[in-house]
Amino acid sequence: MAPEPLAKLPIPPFVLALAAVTLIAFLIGLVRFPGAVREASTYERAQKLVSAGQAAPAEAALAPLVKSHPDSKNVRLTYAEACMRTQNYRGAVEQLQYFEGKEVSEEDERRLNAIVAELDRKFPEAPKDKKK
Amino acid sequence: MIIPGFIITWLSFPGVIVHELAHAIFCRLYGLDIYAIKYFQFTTGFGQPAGYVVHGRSEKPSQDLMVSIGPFFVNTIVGAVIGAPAAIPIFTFGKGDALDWFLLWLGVSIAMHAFPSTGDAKSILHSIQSRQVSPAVKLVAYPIVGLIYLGSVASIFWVDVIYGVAVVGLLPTLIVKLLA
Repeated sequence: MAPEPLAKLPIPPFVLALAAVTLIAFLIGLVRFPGAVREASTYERAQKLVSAGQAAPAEAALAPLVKSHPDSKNVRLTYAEACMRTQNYRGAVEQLQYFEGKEVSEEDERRLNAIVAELDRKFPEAPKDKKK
Repeated sequence: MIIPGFIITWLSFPGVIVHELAHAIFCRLYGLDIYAIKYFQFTTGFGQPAGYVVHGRSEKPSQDLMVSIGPFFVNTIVGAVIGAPAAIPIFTFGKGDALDWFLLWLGVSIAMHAFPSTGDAKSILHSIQSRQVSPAVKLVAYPIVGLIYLGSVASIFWVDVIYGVAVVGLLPTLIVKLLA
């Protein structure tokens, strides 16, 4: 006997729930995607600018990213490096303060040490435990 | 440590469900009868598919082809839109919150189940071999069947997982680098 086609597509509750979650996630993705790509391409561009010695536009581009991604070590480090190149030492020190007591990768540690070493060269007389 | 394939399937179950839903949506789109549908079963890996849709055949082989490969487009697009915006904060900025990680898992799970199955390949073959079909359709369908079988073998080497990760992670990276 030929099977009967299903009159209505059965959708169990768990499938309905997953479909709803997927739809919401899809809409969230649609809303977030342009902004995420824009911020990421700004960050990429800023990194290239820092490498190319154009620190001022890099610093300007990274400043809003530091605000929108305050917990991103990558952004803060790159911003600190840009600040050093534009001689915005206060800005660089502010980023260094973020890393106090935090675990960092070997590469990040190398970059941080390079910034600290340069600051020490520029301000050899600066008190080490100065608080403001 | 080798992780059994069925464990990977259990952990990525949303992708299977979206895959079967995509088949069903295309069937409904073309007015094809659906006789049975299983969105997900945990017995996968024990000789059972993770999910399946038993459906009727269209008079147009091109529609049968779209029913079989529809999940490739649906799962890829849905997985990319969900996972890519979450991948950017995690991999570019090195910091993602719980929502980002959840969306990343969901996106990869959906995208990695984009590949049609060998059951879909058999369905395509049956459709184009059993009746008069234009050479143009055969020219498209046979290579697709070949790719599906290749994909099935490649999934032993986690190519489907790699595909899911590439769609969600590599694609936005490429877009970002192009725009930067």
